[in-house]
Amino acid sequence: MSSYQEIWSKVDKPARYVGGEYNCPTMRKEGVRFCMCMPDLYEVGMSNLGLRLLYHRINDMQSAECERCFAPALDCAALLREANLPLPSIETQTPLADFDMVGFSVQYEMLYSNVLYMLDLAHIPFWAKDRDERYPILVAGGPCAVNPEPFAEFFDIIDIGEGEDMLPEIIEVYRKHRASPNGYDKAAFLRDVARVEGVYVPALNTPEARSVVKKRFLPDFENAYYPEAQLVSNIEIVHDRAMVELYRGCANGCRFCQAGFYYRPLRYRSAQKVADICKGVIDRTGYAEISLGSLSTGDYPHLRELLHTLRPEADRRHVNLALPSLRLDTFDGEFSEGARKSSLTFAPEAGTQRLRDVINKNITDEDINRSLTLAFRQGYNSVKLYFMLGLPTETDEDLAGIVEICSRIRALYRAETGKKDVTVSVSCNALIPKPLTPFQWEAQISTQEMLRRQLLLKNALRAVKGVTFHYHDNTVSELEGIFARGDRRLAKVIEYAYRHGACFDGWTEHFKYDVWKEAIAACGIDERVYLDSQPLDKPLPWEFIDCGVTRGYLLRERERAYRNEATPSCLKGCQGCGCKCAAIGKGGGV
Amino acid sequence: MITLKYCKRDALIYVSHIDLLRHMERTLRRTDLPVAYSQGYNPHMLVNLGITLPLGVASACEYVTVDVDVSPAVFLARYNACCPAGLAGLAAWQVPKNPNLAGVVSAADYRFAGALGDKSAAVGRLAARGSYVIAYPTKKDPSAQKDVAPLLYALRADREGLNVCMAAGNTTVRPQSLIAAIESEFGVQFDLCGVTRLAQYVRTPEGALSDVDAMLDGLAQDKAYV
Ligand code: SF4
Ligand code: SF4
Repeated sequence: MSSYQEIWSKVDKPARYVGGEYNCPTMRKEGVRFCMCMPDLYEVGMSNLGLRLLYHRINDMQSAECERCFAPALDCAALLREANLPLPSIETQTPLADFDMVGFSVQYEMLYSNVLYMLDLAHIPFWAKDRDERYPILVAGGPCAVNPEPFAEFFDIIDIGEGEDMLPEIIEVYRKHRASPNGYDKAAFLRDVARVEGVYVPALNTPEARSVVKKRFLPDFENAYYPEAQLVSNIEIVHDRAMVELYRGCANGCRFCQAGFYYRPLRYRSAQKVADICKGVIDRTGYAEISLGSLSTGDYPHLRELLHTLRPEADRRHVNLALPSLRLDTFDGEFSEGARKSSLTFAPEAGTQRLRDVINKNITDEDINRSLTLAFRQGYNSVKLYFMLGLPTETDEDLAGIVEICSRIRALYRAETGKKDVTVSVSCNALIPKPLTPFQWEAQISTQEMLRRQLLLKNALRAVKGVTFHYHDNTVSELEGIFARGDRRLAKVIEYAYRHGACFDGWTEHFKYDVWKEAIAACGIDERVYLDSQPLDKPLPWEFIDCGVTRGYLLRERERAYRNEATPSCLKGCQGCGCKCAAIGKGGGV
Repeated sequence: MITLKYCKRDALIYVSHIDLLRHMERTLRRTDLPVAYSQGYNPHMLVNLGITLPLGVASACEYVTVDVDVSPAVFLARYNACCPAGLAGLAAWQVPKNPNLAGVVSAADYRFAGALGDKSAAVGRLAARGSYVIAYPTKKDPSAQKDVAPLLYALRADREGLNVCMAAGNTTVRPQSLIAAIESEFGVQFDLCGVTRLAQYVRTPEGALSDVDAMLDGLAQDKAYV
């Protein structure tokens, strides 16, 4: 008979399973016991800011405790199965099935099989209807909740929107039901918890009998919860740094971008607040880097003030301030001063001005020229460019535009520096039409057509010196596309695929396209239903969720796309999307 | 300059040497003590770890030297206020220069916990062997062997386990390989998580083994311990 201890001592990277991280609270095994799961490896899951926020948020409650569990690597899963030991939590090595509630944060579609992988290892039935009072309540949340339908029936509760306030409220409702003198009744609890704003109970709110679920968001982001004393991993993780958000939402409204619409309304934190948080984080974690995050960091109106306030302390403590997601048109020499002058990353997303107007990426050729001229003068000699392929109305001319941008960058570099040693790396991702975007009705191009465009670009880019081209196998995008706009019929596809060997699909080496194709066929599903263009006159499977942005606005944006018309940033004035930003108001500006 | 003695236990036994350096830097950043940094393009904290400890082995005697100008008492107190519990500080010496423990340590004591029972006498006689060739797999050569007899300096077995003093540092014996060999020869079992390093030694010019603590006592201008 093996014990967990013995298993950990035999696996690769035992630190993934044993906890003991700095700032890890001591568990009393009292109150409502919640286990927060991320269906990915420790190193990935621990890098997620949302997980860190919610974990500490629950642990700060008087009446509840939160532990963690990540998808074990395959070697560990094999040993657990061999020993017939159920998957345990990290902190107290308690089997998941013994918790009151088990939460899953679902970050992207390719993790769906891993949810079942973890439930299977935990000896918990997959389907909510098969779990009675003896099992924990299963909660899902995260970005995939935009369209939870493909996995809805596995869960008892789905959190739509931001969880920092919602999750504690759910736990409170649960605690009251547990303490009920008449005994705990799961059905009664679900009826009650469905009244919490943002909570979706798939068993009670079905495609046949729909009610609207309103997305939850924190109105007061300035004072939103932030755990300065957060977990510091014992081993190196993917994003081994602290992350502090500058604001939520995005003012730009790129038409392909789900995050840009889903995280509205726009809510800013003041520079002083961010600086205070960062100083606390340095003291309490010792991280060597703080990432000042947001969807489009250059749009943060207080960036200059923040860096001014924060940089002296950061420099004194030798802490690097990272500014991810700087948009091309906001690139400003000043922000990058002192940073390592290596590589510059831009995402024009489309090769021609026309197509950039279609997708509402408000970047012009002049912006690109101006920013790069500045950058080259400062000593950069490497540029990373991100584009999307398969955008609505895209033609081969737009692909030629990508090649032209690369040539122009080389010419610009030469003109500025007199040298030729610039390297340009081009990455292309497939457009996946996502729910809650103006492109949610568009067709996703076929894998065959994608391959043609990729090869065309690959060959054309060969002619430009110093350019490397990266692209992905479209089969993953195809499946992502199916699940992104999927409905409840896909749950049995996920189950079939898992039972036939799919897991860790997000990892290229584990992705089993054939298994998924077989699953789709075996379940009698026609995948075209999800990949083709969607009818404008019927509600889409996720449209019972009210995210704030109205259907009418998305339709208007779609029409503008077809007229090659860009829509200005919200910073120039409210565009009337429906989510009523207090930070912008009617007059516009911040 | 401060040399710190600390333990490595609980979950922290699974922290590798590289990750350990990151831990030390973070802990020191949390202390906000004036630790010196290297000059140049990519400054890093001037921290010198001691000899490596195999993954999964606990220790009561790890050392790290930090370039910082504070008293040992202040250092130890600040360090312990900011370190992970599994890396608690035990003592600190103010040393005139980096004792380079990673380079000079040549032996260590280990305790291997395990039910030896009646086999303990037979296991104890291992030390007397002129040669003891064990499987010593490496990444390059999974079937490699090594004669460890010249590297086992003292060995004492009891019913609950084994104490061994053996080579550590640049020339070393991997505890796990020794355990595996003893297990298969004598049909005994050690606790997988029951290996602890108890002391580290340097060789005196006369060739004797001297405890690192004693060496640091001789070197130090000032000392603090918990
Ligand atoms: S800038 Fe565009 S792509 Fe980036 S988050 Fe905002 S809307 Fe999305
Ligand atoms: S409400 Fe107005 S300002 Fe706010 S996101 Fe929508 S369009 Fe932009």
